[in-house]
Amino acid sequence: MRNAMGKWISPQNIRVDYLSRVEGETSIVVKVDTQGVEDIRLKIFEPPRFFEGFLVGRKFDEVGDIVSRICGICPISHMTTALQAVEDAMEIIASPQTKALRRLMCVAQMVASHIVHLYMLALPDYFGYPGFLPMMPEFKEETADFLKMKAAVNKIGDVIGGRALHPISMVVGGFTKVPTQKDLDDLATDIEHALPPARRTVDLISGLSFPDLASDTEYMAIRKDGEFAINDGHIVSSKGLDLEIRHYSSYFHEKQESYAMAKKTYTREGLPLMVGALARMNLKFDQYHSKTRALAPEIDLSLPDTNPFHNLLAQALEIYDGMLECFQILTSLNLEKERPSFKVREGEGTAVTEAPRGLLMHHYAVNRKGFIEKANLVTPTSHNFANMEEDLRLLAGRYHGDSGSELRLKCEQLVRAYDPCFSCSVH
Amino acid sequence: MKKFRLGVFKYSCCAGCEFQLLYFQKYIAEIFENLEVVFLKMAQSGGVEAGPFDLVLVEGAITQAEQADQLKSIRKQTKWLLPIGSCAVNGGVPAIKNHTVELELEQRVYEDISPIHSMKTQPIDAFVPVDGYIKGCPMGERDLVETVLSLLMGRRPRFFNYAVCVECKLKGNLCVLVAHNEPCMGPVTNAGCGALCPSYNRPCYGCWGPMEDANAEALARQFEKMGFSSEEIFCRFTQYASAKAEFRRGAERYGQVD
Repeated sequence: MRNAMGKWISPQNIRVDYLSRVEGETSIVVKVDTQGVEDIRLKIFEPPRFFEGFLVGRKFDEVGDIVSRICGICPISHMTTALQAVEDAMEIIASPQTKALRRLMCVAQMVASHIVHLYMLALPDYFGYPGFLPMMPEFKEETADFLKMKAAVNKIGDVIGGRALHPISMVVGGFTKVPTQKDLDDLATDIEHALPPARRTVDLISGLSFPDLASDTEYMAIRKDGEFAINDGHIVSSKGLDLEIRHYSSYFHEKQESYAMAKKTYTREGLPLMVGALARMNLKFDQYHSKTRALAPEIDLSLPDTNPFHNLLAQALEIYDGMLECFQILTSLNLEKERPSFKVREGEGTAVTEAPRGLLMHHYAVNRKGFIEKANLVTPTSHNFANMEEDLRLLAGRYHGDSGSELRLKCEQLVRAYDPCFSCSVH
Repeated sequence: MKKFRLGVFKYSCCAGCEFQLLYFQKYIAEIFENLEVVFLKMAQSGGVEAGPFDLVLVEGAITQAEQADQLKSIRKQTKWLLPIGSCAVNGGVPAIKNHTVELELEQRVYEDISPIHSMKTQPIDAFVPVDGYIKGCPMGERDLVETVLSLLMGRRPRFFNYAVCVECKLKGNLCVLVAHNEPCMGPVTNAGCGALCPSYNRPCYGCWGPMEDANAEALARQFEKMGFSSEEIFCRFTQYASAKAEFRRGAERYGQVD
């Protein structure tokens, strides 16, 4: 049988039993028969840990530390989102200094996450290697860039958070310890030295050859006036949505699939959506630093960009932009000694932030003694889940003429391009 | 020198310890120079889950039967097997679920619980013998480097076998328990973090799990005297290592452990 372009179609059965180089555990099943794409499934078999279940009965001041353990690559996002949701529930207003430090921690983590994803997880596919470790001897400059950038942003988490992975200084109401001026100066110097590697990363990624794909999905991000929103703002979309964060649950809903431990999130209209670096680039390009925006013509960027593989390119731009942002925050902070102080009170609260992979929502109900009565979490990969399957469907339709191994690689590349976190999505 | 065949396996956890392998960039090049990565799903495509291995590092707790099956079969194919991080060593944060009835817990999260086959969260040593513990949440750098270097040199690794309090004293920190009346887990928690939390003005929350022979019950009674409620004390001892007897003894008087 031939397709509309006259190309011969043969049945294909793509099965990736345990996808490597992603965070967490999933399989990919793609079945293409002579009539077209028959079945697409992202079988997320990551075991559930029931965070929403066991958070009930825990004390409000443990929540940030506990949810940090949802994810080993975006712990700061889970922690920050939880702290903000608990503060929203208990009517605590964080100080401008706390907000600035949280923003710094979150941006540094976003850059760190993108660096690991691009170099360690995504890049090997484009150069025909099984992983980045075997690439290291051949790609000496890239390896040095990777390590230098990673060290610079990790150090921010280390110094301000106590440790980059599962930091300990971030608590309800603020920080238990604020860095000294010398700490900030040292961190800023390291970031400054990491800027040229970040710039080279943009060239490296924009030089890759990506499969061709155009999606008509709805891109979503949070946006606010005056800065590239990370921890607060309104939820906006490429189809005109403008939603206050507290109305999150009236607009989005989750659906359980029998074959996956993660739930799929849809809009009120029952449509899939895409969140993450590409969505942010499409919706907030104007709020990148001017130096980042100036790179657009050099890399032939045209917006909106609807190729999901270009999420990698958007991540590369965010590495550069994030470094600029870290530098700006580090060199403008004027820290004073503050200690968290607040009263425990009952209430419900919601927070939505931009985690490295996109919108992250935490919602809690706290009782008058400060214990959690209800917890609900929706992660970026859960927001992207339905869309990943939609894009796999598009991809399999577009490239069904490929050999089995070529199509299989493209499917793996596509899922990796989303930078999914299956540990997060199941939680 | 012959390279060590390394396998890294992930069970129920945040995958942070596998990332931590990559975070330790100071030593990563030297360590990996001596290792042949046979199975490391997060970093490398291909790779087989079958041995023989010289060293297997296991992250995550066991929460499903097939994980235990695989673990037992891996144990037979490796010379050394070590749990890395609190989930694998102590049950970690995923073990908090053990204090709630499974059915109730599952129904709080999933509408249809028929595809769920989760069981009580247990650490790796509940199913197979282990050759040591690389503690921490995430696992500590010193412990990992010490272990890998020791194995490469053919000597027994020297693990820390004392409380966080010792590290606090060495650092000259003011005691947050005595001076600030904070529920610090330092006296019963294994050292290795460098007394991180007290150095950042907060009480230790026990993420490295119990040190050997910890007297958690006495510390729990102390918290009670200091004015903390039963619920608060229960939470304190069930956050990172309630699957281990030492911390359970601290929690038992103050709530339903299982």
